[in-house]
Amino acid sequence: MKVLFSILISVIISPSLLLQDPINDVYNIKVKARVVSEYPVGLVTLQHMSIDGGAFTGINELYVSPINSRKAGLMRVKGRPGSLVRMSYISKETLPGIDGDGYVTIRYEMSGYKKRIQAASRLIDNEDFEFTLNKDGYYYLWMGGKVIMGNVTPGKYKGQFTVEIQYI
Amino acid sequence: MRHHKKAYFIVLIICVLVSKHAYCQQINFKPLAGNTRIQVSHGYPSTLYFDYLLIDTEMIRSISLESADAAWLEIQAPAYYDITVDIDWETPAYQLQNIYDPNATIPFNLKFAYANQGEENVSDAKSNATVLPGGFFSITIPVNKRSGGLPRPPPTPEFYGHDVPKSKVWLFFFGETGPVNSGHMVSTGTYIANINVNIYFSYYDE
Repeated sequence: MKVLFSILISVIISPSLLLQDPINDVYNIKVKARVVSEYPVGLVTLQHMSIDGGAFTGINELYVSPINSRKAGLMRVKGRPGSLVRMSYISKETLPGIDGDGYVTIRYEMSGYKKRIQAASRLIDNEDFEFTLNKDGYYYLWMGGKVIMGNVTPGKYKGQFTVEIQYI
Repeated sequence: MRHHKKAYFIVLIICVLVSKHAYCQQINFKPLAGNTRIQVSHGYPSTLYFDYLLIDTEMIRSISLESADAAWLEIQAPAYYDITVDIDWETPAYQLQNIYDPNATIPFNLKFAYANQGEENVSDAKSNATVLPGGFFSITIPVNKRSGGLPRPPPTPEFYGHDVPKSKVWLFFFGETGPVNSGHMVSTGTYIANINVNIYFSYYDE
């Protein structure tokens, strides 16, 4: 009888027990996804190119080898596995000085390979280049080049590397 | 004997009738919380981002509790109190909605977990987290779960110079989306959901 009694009480009362503080805080969680009809092809920078430590090849010239130098930049192309991709890039760029009037000219050199093995990469001769993504949808690109300091003053020089990739 | 049975039956009827007016013993410590507020901070990431889904394929994107991509909130509140967390949807429940076409939606299964054992960092909290069964989006939990033993004594009321002991509660949001079929007004584009998380002190009162 006691058991039955206590059960009856808790059943009847419990819905009215819980009241909440009217003062509350609201936080928002956003959720996002993209729906695409084709594997997007994209480029991710894994390492920036640095000319510190580049080899001097002339009085005013530094060289970073895309195949041999640890200072080479590294990018990874990602897309549909096994697909053929065309890449084009602008190989020559002039970097104006941030603080001064000087400028630095860079002539980029690229090498590429389907695995992340820099020493096995092959030099890309043209500004337009075609390659096949590996079975995981990746292809690796290393970036080096010649840095020509024709009219240079002490300071920082900053520029950008423009590359375009698309499926064929 | 027959009289005893009748007497028991009458007592039972009386008990049922009287029980409408019975009250539980509940002590409300909420007023002792004083002006102490619940502090909440967004973790990183605060957006649950599923990257891309290929239309008309069986592709499903999942973010697990253990994944670094799971979104989370860190709550700090007085350790002796209970809090209630309610989740409601600004966008249609269990769907991601096209940002330009509200009628275009894709399936989204939100999962939700909490940790309230005084964990100090995200990885410990994930290890101890309790995942709620699907469909449960409101919970009332102690800010600091007792590991066992007798209940604590009542908390010391808040007064000047007294630091109310606090503890952390962690909330995790994860789940999966897809597959996407173009047959249901769905086209390529960006799909989103906005989920509101309401957090407040709970207290027990008439």
